[in-house]
Amino acid sequence: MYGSRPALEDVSFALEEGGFLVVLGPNGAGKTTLLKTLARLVRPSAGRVWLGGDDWLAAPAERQREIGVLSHATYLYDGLTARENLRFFATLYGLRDPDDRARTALATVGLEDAADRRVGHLSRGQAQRVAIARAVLHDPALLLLDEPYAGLDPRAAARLSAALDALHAAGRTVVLTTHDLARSPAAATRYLVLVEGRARSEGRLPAGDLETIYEDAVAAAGG
Amino acid sequence: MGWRAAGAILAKDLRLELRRVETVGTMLVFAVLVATMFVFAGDPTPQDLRRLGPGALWVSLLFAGAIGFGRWFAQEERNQALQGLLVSPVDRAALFAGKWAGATVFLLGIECALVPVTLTMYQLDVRGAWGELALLLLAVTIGYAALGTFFAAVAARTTAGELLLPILLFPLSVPLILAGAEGGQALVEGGRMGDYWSWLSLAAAFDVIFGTVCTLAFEYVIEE
Repeated sequence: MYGSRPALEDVSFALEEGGFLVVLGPNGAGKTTLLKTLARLVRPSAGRVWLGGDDWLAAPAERQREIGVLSHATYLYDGLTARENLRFFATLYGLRDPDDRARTALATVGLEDAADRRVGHLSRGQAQRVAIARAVLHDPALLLLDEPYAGLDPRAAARLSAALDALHAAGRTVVLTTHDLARSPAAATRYLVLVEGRARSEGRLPAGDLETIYEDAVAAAGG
Repeated sequence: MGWRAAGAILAKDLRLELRRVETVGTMLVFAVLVATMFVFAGDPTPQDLRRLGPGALWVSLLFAGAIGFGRWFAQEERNQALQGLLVSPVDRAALFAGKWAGATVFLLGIECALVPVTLTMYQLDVRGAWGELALLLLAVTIGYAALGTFFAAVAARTTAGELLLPILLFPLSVPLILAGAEGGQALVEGGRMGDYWSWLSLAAAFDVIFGTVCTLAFEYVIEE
């Protein structure tokens, strides 16, 4: 619940394998709740989520390795180095040779030089790149990105965009939430506009001007 | 997989704490201060001290634990690191086991310094029963760490977190503290090994019951 109304209600969408869904909406629209539901961080009181033909909400915890989650918060420990953080998460995911996986992931995001620096001493942009490495460490098929650009300067945001485009180009399915239309990636194949917990518009891209679609959806909802 | 994950969480907590030492260090100083206050309160005779000693040890540790549990769990809230654990394929019970084991190790570490200080200050002689004393410390500490870890998770989910923790923790810890104090008293007085084993059994039963309950309930506590 969000105040007296359901955080999400009447939200339905489908995303094909390898697709890229951008979820738009103003603050409090339910974007984060939707992502958390997909990540199984919150249990919905009603509704279903299907992933690869299976009831995702009833699937065993083991299947969490199929998803990678990136948020505006890094989910990292400030007191550990970038390498230690990644090694820790590699162990949690049961990956073979966590050291090697951590090294490879850091190389992927171009942070080999910062590997032995504590995350608390990294810049926001660098910490977010370590967070990307954490999210893809186990090579998930589905990436869930919750406002990943929040707090990044334009240069760090551009670097993140490039990294996300590369991850999508590598065949991953991506769901990204943002309230900032300027951050809608060019690679997006579908859109979903949420307002006050309800899906107001949904479709395939390109479908005309996304900004107009968004403004129309928000206006129709009385926002 | 569960044990490996629990071990990784334990190792991570140890690494973080050893790097800062601030929480364990503060807890130790606090525990020694509390234990010392009993010595200065009321001008006790050596006989009074020997009677008070075992209880003072556990009360000091009880208070010190209330400081530490919240801080150990708070590191999971920074950068929402807990969410990173929850989106991984780690079983919630393994997550709790890792945090519980970490808290147990930290408390035992504090006891390594606190117990000799208390024995000296209170002029306590356990009459060579060091193995029995170690067993009692272990049994009480395991149970207290389970409760502390669980309620620290509960408190972290509320706005009044740090205020709430001791209110939740202390009442339920009474049987453990009683077992620790009375079991310790039986060792100090000597010739009361029957009593000692009874109190140790109570602590062990507490560990099994609350360890199981906390492990099973943890999943619901950390869920949003």
